[in-house]
Amino acid sequence: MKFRKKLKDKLICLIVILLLISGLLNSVFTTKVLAADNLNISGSLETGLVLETEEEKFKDQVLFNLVLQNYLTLSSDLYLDLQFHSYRNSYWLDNNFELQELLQSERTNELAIREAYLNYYTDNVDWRLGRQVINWGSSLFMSPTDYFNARDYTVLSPEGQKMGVDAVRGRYYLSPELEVIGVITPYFTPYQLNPEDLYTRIEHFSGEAIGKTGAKIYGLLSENNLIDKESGLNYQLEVDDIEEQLQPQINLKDPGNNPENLQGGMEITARNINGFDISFSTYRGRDRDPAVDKKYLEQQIEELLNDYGTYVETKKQESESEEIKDFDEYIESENLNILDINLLYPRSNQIGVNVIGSLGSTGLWSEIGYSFYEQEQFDNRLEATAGFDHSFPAEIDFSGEFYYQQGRFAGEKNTELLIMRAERPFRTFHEKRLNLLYDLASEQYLIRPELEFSLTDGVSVDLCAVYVSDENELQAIPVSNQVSAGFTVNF
Amino acid sequence: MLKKTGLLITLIVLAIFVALGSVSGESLSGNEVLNKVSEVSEAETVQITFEMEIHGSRGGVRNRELEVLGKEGEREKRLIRFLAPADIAGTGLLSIEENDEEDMHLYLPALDSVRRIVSDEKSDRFMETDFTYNDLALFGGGNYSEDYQAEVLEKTAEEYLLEIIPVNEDIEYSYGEMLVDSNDWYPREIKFYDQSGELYKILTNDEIKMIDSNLTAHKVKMEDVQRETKTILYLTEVSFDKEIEIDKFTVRYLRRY
Repeated sequence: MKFRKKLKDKLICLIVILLLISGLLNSVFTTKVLAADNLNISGSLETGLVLETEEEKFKDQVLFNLVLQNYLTLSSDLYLDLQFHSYRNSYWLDNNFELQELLQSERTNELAIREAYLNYYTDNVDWRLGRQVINWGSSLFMSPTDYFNARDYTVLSPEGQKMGVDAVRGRYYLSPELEVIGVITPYFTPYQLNPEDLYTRIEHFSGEAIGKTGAKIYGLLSENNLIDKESGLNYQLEVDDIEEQLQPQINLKDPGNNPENLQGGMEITARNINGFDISFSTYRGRDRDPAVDKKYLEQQIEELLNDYGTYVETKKQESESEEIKDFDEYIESENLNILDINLLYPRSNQIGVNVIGSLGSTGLWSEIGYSFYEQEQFDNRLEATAGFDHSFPAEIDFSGEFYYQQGRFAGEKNTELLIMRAERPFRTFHEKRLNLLYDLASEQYLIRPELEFSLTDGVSVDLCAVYVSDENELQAIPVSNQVSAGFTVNF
Repeated sequence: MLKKTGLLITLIVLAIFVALGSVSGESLSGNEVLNKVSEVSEAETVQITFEMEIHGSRGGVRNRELEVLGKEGEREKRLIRFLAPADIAGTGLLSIEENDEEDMHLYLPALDSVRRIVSDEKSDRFMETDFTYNDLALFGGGNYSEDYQAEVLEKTAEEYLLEIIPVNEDIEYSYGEMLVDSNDWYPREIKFYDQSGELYKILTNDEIKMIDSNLTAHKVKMEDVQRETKTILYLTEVSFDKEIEIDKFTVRYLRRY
């Protein structure tokens, strides 16, 4: 009770401070865009607090964006988005409401240029040069053809925040209803993840890989007659035993900024074909999601088995069969039980198509992407969405989307998600939303009700809760049960 | 000879007066009145800037500023763009209508993304206002006589009261009652009814002034009587028949903000 009271006091203090900041910003900037001839200044301040209810852990953030836009001439302008992000992850508060010294409790402060680019317009081509966010695809929730931008999951938002990439983009208008876009980015920018989230997100990759590895080792041991009564080995050895003995050492390989990470893409869009907009796209670059380097893993297994086989043969030749250790005992005694699980961003060539339009009073869209991997260890994969939205009476907007993604190797599961959202305004300016995510493979689900209160022009408070049916098994979007509050000022 | 000529002129003048008298005294059909309403503004292009107040059911007010560009022709084109506040500034709606088929695209600057508006969304409220996408289409050169058929309910010396019935299936109202001033053929008030026949919204045009030979309401109020909300548009700038580049009514320009 004391904890809860102090928590309440702290939240009230936080809200008061945020309201003061809001008032200050309002008085300094007013709530309108400042315009000084050719210069526009705008921005936003977002604060957020998340309480993970099971473990009573907190996360908080302050996100400040200052946007400057300068119209140089009628055919060119400059855009700059400076971002300050201050956050603290996964900390506990003790009974005196003081921070406890725990893992990752240190505050991180980052100042970054999120976007900085020059727009230059010629007769038929719009050029954009510099760091920018590129949005491709028409799907509402998951977009298989949105190739370029990684997301920053250190930002407290269910979808994270799209990160700008350094790129040159040209948009060529063949006619008002036909356009071609070309993009080249010199570097690969991977997802930005918290260390804790990184482990959660890749845990299932490594778990699957080790499971397969265990099975593979067990199979090979049998094939090579290394598990039988005569050899004196423990034939009761099970796959799970091997799994338990193997300790994964997860390494995420950063591709780095080198020329081989050059990425490029092209999209052609035709509008209003029988009421539908259709795009075809192609991309050459790396996947955003890391995958286990299966080849490297198999090399390690091979070496491990060779070592063990040599050990067994040696012991047999020395007529010491009764002293031969089981495989699991052997790898533990020789400190060979650590497996490097290297995660890499596979190189691929991708093609995609997306369609959006309406049938009667229902909006429809679909997006299909297919990846051809350069490394043989990865299977080509299909990624697709199909969705709809419809407005019902009483101003209820409903949207739903099915998302399918094939695994890239035998150990990586297919992803099948059903995502739904219902939203309705209330008291004119406020909004309530109900989000549902259902993972068809694990039959787990996530429910996220959300209330957004508009306090005045550009100022809002967001209250949200997340309920996950089983925290350990919902791997598609690994989150925990939580409640959160956010406060946003736009100026 | 002179007398005969004078008599002839007198007769012609009398005939003209009689003819005019018979026209002004003659009852017009609903559709004829609606045509006159549509002819009030025959400008080829229009460029308007509004300040907008959105009044909530519990008294709160939100402010917006928006610009509307319109161009008549075989293809009717409209571009509506929010200029303030900052969180929605740049949000734009492009509408191109040809042969009763309307193609709408919405630009969201936060996503730098252009999204097609499906037909059902056209009857949704536009950005928290009491106007639907279809209502907004009537600004910037929209034409009542293309979207509605009318019958006269009442006629007085000063006014016509019409029942207007939508012929465009995207319009969510079942019918409306339009009060037209027969002196200038400008609609003063329109009551819209929902599909259950209940009064839904009331549109009021006030402060009507002549601008560049076009009658224009400088204050437009849309009141949602069911939700008890209202949106008021205050016209701040307007110009008619000024050259607007055709390129402004393209997805390319919609993105450029």
